[in-house]
Parts: sequence; C-alpha cells; structure tokens
Amino acid sequence: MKIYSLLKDREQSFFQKSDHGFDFVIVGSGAGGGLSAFLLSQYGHKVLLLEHGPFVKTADLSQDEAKAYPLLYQEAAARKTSDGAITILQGRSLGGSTTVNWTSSFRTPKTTLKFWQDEFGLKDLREDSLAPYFEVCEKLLNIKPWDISPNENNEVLARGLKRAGLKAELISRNVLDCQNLGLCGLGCPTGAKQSSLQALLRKAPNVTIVTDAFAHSFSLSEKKKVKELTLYPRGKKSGQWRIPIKELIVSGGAINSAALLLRSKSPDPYKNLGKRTFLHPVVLTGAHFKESIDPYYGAPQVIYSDAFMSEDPRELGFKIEVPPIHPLLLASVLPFGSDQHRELMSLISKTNAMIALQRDGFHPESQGGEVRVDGQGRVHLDYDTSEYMQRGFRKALRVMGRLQFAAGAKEVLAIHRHAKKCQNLSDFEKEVENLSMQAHDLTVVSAHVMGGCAMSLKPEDGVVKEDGSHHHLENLSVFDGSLFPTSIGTNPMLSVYALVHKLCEEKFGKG
Amino acid sequence: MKLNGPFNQVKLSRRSFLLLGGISGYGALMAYALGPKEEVVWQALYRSWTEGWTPKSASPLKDIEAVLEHIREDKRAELSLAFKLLTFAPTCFYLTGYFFPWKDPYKVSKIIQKWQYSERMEQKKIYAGVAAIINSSFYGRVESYQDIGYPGAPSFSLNEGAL
Repeated sequence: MKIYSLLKDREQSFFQKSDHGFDFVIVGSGAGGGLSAFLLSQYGHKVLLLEHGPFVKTADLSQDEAKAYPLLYQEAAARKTSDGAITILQGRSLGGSTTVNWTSSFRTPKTTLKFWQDEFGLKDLREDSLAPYFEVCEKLLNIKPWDISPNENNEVLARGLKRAGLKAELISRNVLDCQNLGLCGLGCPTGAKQSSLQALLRKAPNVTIVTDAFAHSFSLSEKKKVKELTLYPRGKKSGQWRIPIKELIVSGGAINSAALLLRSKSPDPYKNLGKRTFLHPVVLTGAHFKESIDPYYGAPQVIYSDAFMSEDPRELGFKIEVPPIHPLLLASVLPFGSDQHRELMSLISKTNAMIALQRDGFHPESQGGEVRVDGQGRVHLDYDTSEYMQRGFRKALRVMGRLQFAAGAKEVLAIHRHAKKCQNLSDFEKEVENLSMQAHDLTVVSAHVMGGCAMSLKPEDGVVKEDGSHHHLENLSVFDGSLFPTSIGTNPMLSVYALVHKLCEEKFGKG
Repeated sequence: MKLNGPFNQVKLSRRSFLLLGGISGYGALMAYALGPKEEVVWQALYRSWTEGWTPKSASPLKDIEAVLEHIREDKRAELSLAFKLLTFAPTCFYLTGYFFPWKDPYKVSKIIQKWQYSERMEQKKIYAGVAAIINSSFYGRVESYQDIGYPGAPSFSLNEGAL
C-alpha cells in the first residue's frame, strides 16, 4: 500500500504524467471501497483507490472537536438536507465513515432481507447466502461482543430497559486492544478501531492510494463504457487529472456515489438515480441525573434495544441506542435559546442522551429522499419527513423518556426547539404530545446514509443489477451502502462490508 | 422567502432574492467576507448569546470566521447575503422588527428570542444558523471546557503498529 496526496504538487504531477495501467479504479475508501481494494489486491489486480478526504495518521488525530470534524467529516460534520432540517454525519478521510463511526457492528436484520426478497425480488440476498460473508468480515475486522462493563451512559439505557421489562442487548464492536476511551467519533487515537484503513488497506500490497482527490465525473465511450475519470485536488478548481478506466468501482457512500453518477450524466432512462436515499432519521432525548454520567468517556455504543422494531418492517420501527456526548456535538444539536442552552451545556457531565433510529424505505409514506446536483455540480439531498415518520418520532420520544425516567432520571427533555424539561413521566408525555414534529422544530440527525443507487432485477426499478454492475454501463459497479433498496434498520457498516464482499468475490474473484 | 438554517443553508427564493437583494443593492454575492457592518451584527449576536459566560476568547469574530471557513462555498455566499440583509435597514426591519438594533443589547436579546419562537420559516432558519455558528465557535474552543465542566479527553497510549 502506498499513499499519495493530490494536494502535493510533486505527487500530483507524477500521477498526471502517465497512464499507470490500473486494472481497477475505486472511488471512496470506506467500508465498500476499502474492502473492494483489499479483495481485488488479493486477487492480484493493480488497484488505484481514491479518497476525497486526507490521510491522517493515528498519531496525528486530534481530540479537539473543532479540529477533528473539519478534517474527518463531510462538510465539517455540518452536511445537511437541502432544507437544513437534518444534519448528516458522514466520514471523509482515508477509511471514510469507518474512521469516525462508533464501531457498532450488526448483521442485516432478517426482516429487512425478507422484505428485499419479497418486494424487490433480490432472492440472492438471504440470511444463509450472506452468512459466510458476515463471518469472514467479522474475523477481518475483529468484530466481537463488547465484554467490558458499559459506561454509565449505556448503563442508563440498560437499566431503563430492564425496569421497563425489556431486554438490553449487547452491541458487537470492531476493535482490537480498545482502551475504552470514547473518542471513536473523532477518529480512534490509539489505532484500536478496525477501520477499513487499519484492518484492510494496510494489508493490501497492490493498492495505490491517492487522497485529497475529488472524483468529479467520468466520461463515456460510445460502447457504453466508462472511459476516463476526472479528478481535482480537494477544494481546487484546477489541477485536473484524467484517469483512463478499465473497471470503475464507485464506493463513495450514499449521496456521494449518486452525485458522481449524476454529474457524469450516466444513463438513467427510468430516473431512478439518487432517488430512494435513506437516512435512518434520528431523534433524541436528554436526561439529567443526580450522579455523574460522564457520557464522553467509555465505548460509545454497547447497549441497544430492538423492542420497538416490529417484525413487519412496513410498520413504524426504531432502534434505541445512546450516543457519546462531547461539547461541540452537544452544542450543535441543542436548539434552545442562550439561557437554556448554556444551562444544558453546563450539565454535560450529568447528561444521558438516547437516540432512536427510524427505519425508512419500507412504508409507502417513507420513500426516502432524492440526491440532485446543481449547475455547479454541488450535491443536495431533498428529504421530507412525512406525517407517518413524524408519528414515529413522537412515539420514539415517548419511549425514550419512559426509559430515562425508569432509569432514575431527575428530568428529561425532548431535543426540540420548544421543549421544556419535565420532572416526571406524565408531564413529559403531555409535553411530547403537544410538540410539533416538523423540521426545524424537532432536532433530527442522521449518521447512516443509504440508497440512491439501488439494486434491482430490472433497469426500470433501480440503478444497478443484483451483482452491483450498472444496468447500462459495462465497466461500472457500485459497491457501497447506496446499493440498498431500503434502509437497513440497524447500523449499516457490517452490512456494507458483507454485501460488498459477496459482490466483489462473485464478480471479480478467482474461480 | 426561505432562509435556511445552521451552517449550510441560507436559501432565498428567486422572488425574495430579487425583492430583498434588489432593495439592499447587494446583488449576487459569491464570496464570503465579514464586512465591517456584518462584524457589528455578529459581535452583537455573540455578546448577547454568550452573556454571563465570561467567554475566554478575546476575538470571537476570529472564532466565528474559523467556523464559517468550513461552510460550503455556495452556502457561505447565501449566508453572507442573509447578513447583508441584516445590515440594511429596510430588510433588517423585515427580519428583526428594528431598523438597526445591533448597538442595543436589549434589542438584540429580544431579536434572538423572537427568532427562537417565531413560526416564520426564515426567522426559524436564521435562528438555527446563528445558534449553530455561535455555539460551534464558542464550544469549539478548548478554553470553553472548564466553563461547562468537561474534563477533556482521557489519556491514552498509541497501540503498537497503529498506522
């Protein structure tokens, strides 16, 4: 593995001067791109991996949020839906979102796979057909149940669930020699997190990595093939580099992959590209406790509950977890006036937060958003929360408040522009009943972006085939979370790995 | 008129843009720069927002600029336009209820409250944008940690072989 930066003049000119004869060019280095590069390298191919963000050595990662977010996240962790209503946390450095996620690793729920089989005819995506790939990925990434006591932030959820008569489930994590710090979202400063960089790319000998490289668009030959990919150094409008393409794998993650295809005007006769982009919209409640919670220390997510995920995914369903809380992250989600804001900030050490991830894409009134690009090639995501989804938000807030009071909270607060702290469950439920669940009133965030280049059997129904190949372009595959025809209903990292492993092996593996 | 919220999104409809932009005479602004009048507005909002916090920053505008630096170029231009509107008396009146209130802390405090509880989308969005930028500029500084009792990152050692 060799790493270059397109922002360095000498390296830029080295790449621009000649055709380096790469068998594969991969755009994006997260779960999909990182694993593809690793596997293709093992198959003996010469691979070029491109990453929009920088390469930051573990030793150089900052624990200062103000420095970490601009460096490691899309749009400095302030990416939003086009109406500004939903904040989207998405990684952008070598390793993509696997560098900054909270390490929660789940297999794809069987109800989701069943829905894909029944509704989209994706018969090959079954629990049994994917199981071997999950097993391999779990080994590669050292995914194991977390066997250290949960931090108090997670313990609140466990206690609340227990007192409500529900089971607290343990989350598996992709870490090795984890020091239980709680800094995952700022990039693991010890190297314990088994990101695509730490676990895969570093072991891939035939991979050349170029960072700080923005894949703008590709051109097409007359034979419906991708001919050249055009790149720019990150943040620049000059220094263009055109790479001849034999085989292109797009793994920029949802939103970005669709945007690349849209900018390239790739064939889309049925206007499916960018549509059905999903977010797992998340709503939050905060609770204050008498004792210290210190929600910034310790493995961020180790307890969850699927008690509110019905078996039928067409029904409202949400997963309950807790987020880590650091000052800037907390400050950015609290929509309150200055007095209330500063009071809430000053209680950070005694704060527990819960989040509910709503699955989207299953119900007719939850069809996801649409990625579009403007005349300047900039990407936008239009995503409206329907009344159906708003019912889910309200239900989730009630459930989380109930769990927090059950766990012993002194007061609970819906994270909402007009919400007030409530000292008992009855008041909280009345409060939530009266709050508007509309955008800009309710704080809604997302850290799971999926869909937009959906797999389908027929070109009329999606962007790529069941094997990840583009329906209309011979040498283009999409290998990332944008393949999903709905959201997953759980943290998607491991699902991306396993699906991409299957597709990459079946399409490009030897024998 | 549609002014969008935090960081990224101040979006004006074409009609509103022509109406307000035309009145203000500022036209299409493509590059972001804090002009002297905008600085006055940001200073006033920052002071009101952080009142009682004894912020350690001697130069809040620099902190705000550090946050603005990371906003996408097109959104920055839109945000810049929104602030131009706040510095031009007629459009400022439309958005705040005052012609140029920025030197009166009482009025500034009232404006923030008005935006917070407003049901007008443009005011909701300006409020969200201002809140996000000021909060980030304030809590993005390590110096703010002691004000809220955040003890900072725990100590750790680099694992062997970490890349």
